[in-house]
Amino acid sequence: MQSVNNRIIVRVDMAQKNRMKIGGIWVQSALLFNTNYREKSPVIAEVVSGNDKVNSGMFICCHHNHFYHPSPYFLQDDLYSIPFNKTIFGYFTEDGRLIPVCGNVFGNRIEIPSSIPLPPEMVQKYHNKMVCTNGNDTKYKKGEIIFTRPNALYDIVYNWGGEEKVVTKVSEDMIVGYKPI
Amino acid sequence: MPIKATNNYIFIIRDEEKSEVNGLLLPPSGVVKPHTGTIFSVGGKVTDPNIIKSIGLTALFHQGIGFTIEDEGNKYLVLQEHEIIAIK
Repeated sequence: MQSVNNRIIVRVDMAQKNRMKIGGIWVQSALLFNTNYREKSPVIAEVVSGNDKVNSGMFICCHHNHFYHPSPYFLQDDLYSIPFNKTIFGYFTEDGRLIPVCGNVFGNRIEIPSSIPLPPEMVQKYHNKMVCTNGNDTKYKKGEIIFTRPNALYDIVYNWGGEEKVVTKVSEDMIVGYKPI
Repeated sequence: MPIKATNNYIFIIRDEEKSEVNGLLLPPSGVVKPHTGTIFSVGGKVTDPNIIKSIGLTALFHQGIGFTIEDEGNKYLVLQEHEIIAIK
């Protein structure tokens, strides 16, 4: 089966769509998280037929909306033909990193400075500012400060072989400005 | 390096609020935020040629629109292209 019209075909296990074995290592995305501003229920899928950016055999992390029945993206069994747009957040590398695609930018949130030392649970972070760690196919480079619309930042939390990892994601069209290095 | 606007967003440094009128001091609740400011940076996807070349000029916009971002103590009002109604 070949994907067309800027779509990719992916395989998703509907019984446990936030869990996948990649190269013998279990990867699980967080369904629940104790703070707000997280990406709700990101789905891990295997690419069956991809394009020049996401190749067949890769594992991607994408938005959950495509995978509810009845879904217009459903093909057969556990195969879905989903549009290649910003709802695809990134793909997993063999060492457990998530690389952004489709205009998504990953970064780390910036702490709001405080005049007195604060315990970790009291430290607050900006809701519209982050340091870019991976812009991939966008113009934003690692280390640049990115300014976004209010509350446009979303956390993707996942567990790679027992190790919890967090990336903060923003879509390129929600970025209002940046500070070059 | 100074902050740069991107997409169709425009950064504006809002004019200072007047806390005094004809020698009378106004209480904070009576101070009206000015709806004018100096254009600081224009994003790359802005299409209006008059706005593109208007850095440093005064822009007029409606009250209560846009949002503010802060960088190194400076506050910038962020507007989209269509939210500017005139340039002086």
